[in-house]
Amino acid sequence: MSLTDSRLPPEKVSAFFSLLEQAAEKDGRAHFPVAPDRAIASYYINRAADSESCISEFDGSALASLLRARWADRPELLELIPALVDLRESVIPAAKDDDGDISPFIYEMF
Amino acid sequence: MLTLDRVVRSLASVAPAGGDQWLDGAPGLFADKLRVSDHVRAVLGLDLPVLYTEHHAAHGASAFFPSPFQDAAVVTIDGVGEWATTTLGRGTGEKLEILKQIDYPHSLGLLYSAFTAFCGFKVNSGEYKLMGLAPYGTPRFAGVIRDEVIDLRDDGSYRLNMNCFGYLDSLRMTNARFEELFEGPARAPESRITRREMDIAASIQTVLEDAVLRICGHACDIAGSRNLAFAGGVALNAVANGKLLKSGAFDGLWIQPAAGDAGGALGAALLVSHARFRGRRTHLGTGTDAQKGSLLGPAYSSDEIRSFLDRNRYPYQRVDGSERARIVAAALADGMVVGLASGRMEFGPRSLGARSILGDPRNPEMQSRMNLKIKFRESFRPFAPAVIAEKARDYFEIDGPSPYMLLVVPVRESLRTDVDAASFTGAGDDMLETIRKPRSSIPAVTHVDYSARLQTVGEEAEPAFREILEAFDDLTGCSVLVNTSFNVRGEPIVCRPSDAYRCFQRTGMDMLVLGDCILYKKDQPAPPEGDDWKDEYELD
Repeated sequence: MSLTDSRLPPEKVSAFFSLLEQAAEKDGRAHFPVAPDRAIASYYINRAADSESCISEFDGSALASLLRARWADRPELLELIPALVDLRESVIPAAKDDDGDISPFIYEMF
Repeated sequence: MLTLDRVVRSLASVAPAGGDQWLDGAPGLFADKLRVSDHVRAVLGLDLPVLYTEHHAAHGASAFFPSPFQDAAVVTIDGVGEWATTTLGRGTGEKLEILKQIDYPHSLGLLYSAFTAFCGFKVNSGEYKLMGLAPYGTPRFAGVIRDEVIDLRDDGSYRLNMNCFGYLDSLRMTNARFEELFEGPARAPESRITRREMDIAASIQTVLEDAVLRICGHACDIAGSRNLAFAGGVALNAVANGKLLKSGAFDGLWIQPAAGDAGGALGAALLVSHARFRGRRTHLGTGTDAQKGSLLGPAYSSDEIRSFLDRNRYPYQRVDGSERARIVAAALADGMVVGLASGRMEFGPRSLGARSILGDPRNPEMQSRMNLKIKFRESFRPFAPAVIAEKARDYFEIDGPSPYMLLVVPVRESLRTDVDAASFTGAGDDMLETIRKPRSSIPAVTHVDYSARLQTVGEEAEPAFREILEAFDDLTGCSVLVNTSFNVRGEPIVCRPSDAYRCFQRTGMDMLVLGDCILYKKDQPAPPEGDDWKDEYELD
């Protein structure tokens, strides 16, 4: 169930995906491995995170700067940030609950 | 923000595919998840800082901080959080650290969910059906899974072969390659379950148990502790948990009863409490956990219950505690099915005696009757036993408590009935015939492999439930009852008296206990015409 009964303008959602397609085509580098690699001894990623480092504050107005820091090594993604910020600011109230349309046969990834 | 990062990177990895996923998921992501702090402030009417915790850190906190351990290895395994899908950590006193993790798209939870969907059950709710189906099959696909689907290392680390899955770039968990490996297309929901699905379930369950054992063993090695605290959706796999217990690799095992994402709320609060506000684990050294029997939900007073019944003119009998237990025990021994709603509701997916449907486990017809006429669910699904804690060893092969129904353990050999093993692992796939063969002196709670998902009921349990068990024991000499969640298929577990009454009226239950009030079905007015639960709840 949607917490807010809010939704996004569909045309903006579609337009973002077109931008993302262009960005992906421009770069082409993988973002994560997609198959086993016999040369790797262990697939664990080492961390040393205490409780405090797993806690954060998120201010929506800082979304652009946070994403810029996160994507510093991926310039093709940096180009998407204005559209993402626009999407966040484009949420409009709606009576319909969109979550009900999600197939029950797909894990809810987002 | 990390989730947005994952979504964008994931889509960028598969574009131009993935458009359907984006169209489905974007509204929830932008309207809800990225605005949670706005919503919280609006609901509270206060302009306060809103703290976020990492998804798996919250799971880890929910496992470690309420546990009875001073130190423990802390393992979390689920579908996906922000990026992490599996974490290994260490809890010491008031501190929790994450030491290692596996990231999306490699995920044991998503692997199990993919097989769940392939076998025709819903993702995020049907996983326990797959677990229940597994003992009917033989693990003939386990080799294929290990060779083609997942590379599992000795230390428990793993990587999936994404060319078998659809969840990166479509609205399907699996793809054509998966179908090639597992002998054809996915089973259609609600269609007949065949030998193939039974064998697939047995196979993925075998691989999952192997992975969980390796991960937890490695976690103990790196944490330097032989205690294990476990959470995340995969920690609800009670069969795998039973294998952890049986392995003897751990001195202590504590699993968060609300191991799924509901427990993340508890974990987030505990994490922040201990990291920022000097929260203390005052239960340490008492020999108990801090979960309070997981009876953390709402309760309704006797006045509230009677007010509801009187207002609606529902006939009832008011009784005191000991009389209630005696009446209910006699009804159960007489073959009645009883709904019990008493005290604070359980937090988590298991009914532990506060919102439960009870039956006589000795009755060989009870499993199929409760499945088909009370719960309206698939006939193959087993029911769980609740046993007086002090007498658990008389019935089950277990040495410690299992208060949260999170461990599957064997029924004692002395209680078992010989059944030809070929009748359920052989060529036939008539499950009803298999189910009808009693496997022990408590057949309603004995699964086809002589296992049972056990709840031990000690002094910390819901008092009315414990009293009923004791009265049933006094009357019959049997210390066990069938205990299943008070709901029908697809419905959330009932909470309020009105929820309980409606479920009672819509099903074949014979008696309802609401606090100190007893209602008999034969005395109740007929439910309104057309009042069908199937119109209200989608099948799970």
